[in-house]
Amino acid sequence: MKENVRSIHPRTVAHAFAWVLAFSACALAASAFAASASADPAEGEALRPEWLRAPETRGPLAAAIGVDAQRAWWGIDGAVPLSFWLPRTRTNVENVPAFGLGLSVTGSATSDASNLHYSALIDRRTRLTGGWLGVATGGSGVQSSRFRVGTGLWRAVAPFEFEAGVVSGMEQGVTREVTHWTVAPDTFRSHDTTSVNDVDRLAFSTTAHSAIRWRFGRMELGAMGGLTLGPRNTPLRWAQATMHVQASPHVLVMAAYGQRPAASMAFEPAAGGYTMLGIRVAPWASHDWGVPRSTAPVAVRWRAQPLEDGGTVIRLRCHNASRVELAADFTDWAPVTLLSTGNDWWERSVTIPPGLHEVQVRLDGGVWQVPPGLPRTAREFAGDVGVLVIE
Amino acid sequence: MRRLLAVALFVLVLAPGRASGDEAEEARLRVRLKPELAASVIEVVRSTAAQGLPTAPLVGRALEGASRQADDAAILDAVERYAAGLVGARRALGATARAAELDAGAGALMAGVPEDSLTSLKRARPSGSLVIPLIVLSDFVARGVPVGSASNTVLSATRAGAADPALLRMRERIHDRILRGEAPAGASREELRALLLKTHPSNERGGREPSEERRP
Repeated sequence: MKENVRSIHPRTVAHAFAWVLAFSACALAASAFAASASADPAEGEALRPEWLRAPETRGPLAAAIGVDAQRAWWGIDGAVPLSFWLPRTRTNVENVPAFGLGLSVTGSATSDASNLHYSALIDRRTRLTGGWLGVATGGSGVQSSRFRVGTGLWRAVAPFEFEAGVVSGMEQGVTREVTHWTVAPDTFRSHDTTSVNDVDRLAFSTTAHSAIRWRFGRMELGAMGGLTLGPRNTPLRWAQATMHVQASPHVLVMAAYGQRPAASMAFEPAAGGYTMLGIRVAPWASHDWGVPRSTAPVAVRWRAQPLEDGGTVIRLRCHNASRVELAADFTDWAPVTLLSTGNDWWERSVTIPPGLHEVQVRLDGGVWQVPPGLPRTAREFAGDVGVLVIE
Repeated sequence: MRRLLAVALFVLVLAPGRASGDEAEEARLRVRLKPELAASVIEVVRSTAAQGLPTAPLVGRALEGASRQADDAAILDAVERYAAGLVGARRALGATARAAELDAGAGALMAGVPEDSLTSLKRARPSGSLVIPLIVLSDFVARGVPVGSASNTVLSATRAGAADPALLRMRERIHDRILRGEAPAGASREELRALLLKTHPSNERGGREPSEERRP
């Protein structure tokens, strides 16, 4: 007779569940406040789970390191856009499906080249929904598997993001074999002899998970939970609460409380299996590729106010911008710089004759875009432009 | 006699200004474009001006192309097509259409809206300005609303007497719906229905596509 002993303690899991429930209640309560402030995603805002590698949100490559209750770990992940027909940094307002290939390699402080963990996934995304399909292999100790296959779906309902996924594979696990021998020297006496052995064994396992994340400015709070079905079909519950803070366009600070099985992290190179602290660096986050959306410059309000002298003051409110330019037919499409007047407002006085005019703005040297709130029309050379009517 | 005096006054007051405006436009083109391209574009501009059509949008097209480093042939082609769009807009909107209406109409035609739709729009609002309805129409098409649905939405709203602010509010709501992930055609249909119900509460079937109305 054999008996499996799992490495995750049930009491700790229950504790983590309590935390996650408390956290979720706080997040839901806070959402009422957040919803009133920003119920809808801003135009041009790309939504998606952070862990799904997206070059347009943080460049083609990122590296993460962290420590959790069991080990120090690292991960490197890359992302390649597969939708070559779509401009890389262009906003996907049209909801055209885009495809990407994500690759990652992870290891622990004690890993050598032979027991690194590798994963590859293909994701399909529109602006508010997406799905992914991936394969993974490798790892060391209880984190390892011969082969894993996973799939998942996500949906953004700003400021929330919902995700569900399932990962199956041959998992390496420490199994404690307990063997009972009944010794009966004669018909009147007998006694049990028990021997216990820890053995490493591959077994088929399936892990299903769901997550909810709430983004507010540069902070993201998340709660993830799931079930793991092992060889004996006894479901193992697990949960983890996470907090991410985008310290700069290049640096993401990560913290987590609770536990996750290795299978649920197979495609997520910047995750820890236990209570952990980590940091992710994306050195190529830039305007050419993209920056995390919480640090990306974004135009949120447009004003055109006529002056008594016949001129017009153009005012634009932008977050995270250090340079704001405007190009329009009334500037002969030459870029002119707006001046900062504080509190995220930028302005410039221009002379605009009465009639119909076309205008675009550019933040920090990024792509030319339609000013917020203006009707748009398509032009041959400039792309979409905002339409301004001066009476 | 009074009429002759008015014409003379027009010539005295406006003609010099117009001539200097044309000269200024041509000077801007000569500064920004290569000499051969500038000459070709100026020829199109003069031809358009001779037909009494606005020329500022043509200059805008040419300078837009120059600032985005488009090649000369593409710039000239864009200017010629927009000039043809202005001619088409006047044909659809009538000889009394104002410059801004012609500009907005040409933009709509360039976006793929048929001339018939512009003519219907003119019939729906014979005396008022069509600048905002045409801008809203182009905006819908740019946001992915199919041309037929976009035309039907703006035309139905205008026929129902929706004023410019109501059209602009409908545009914003459709824009919000599209950002939330709704299909552009469905978003425009729903918002048109809401606008029509608000305009004529008894019209519960308002805003449906003609093809839907024929369904059993």
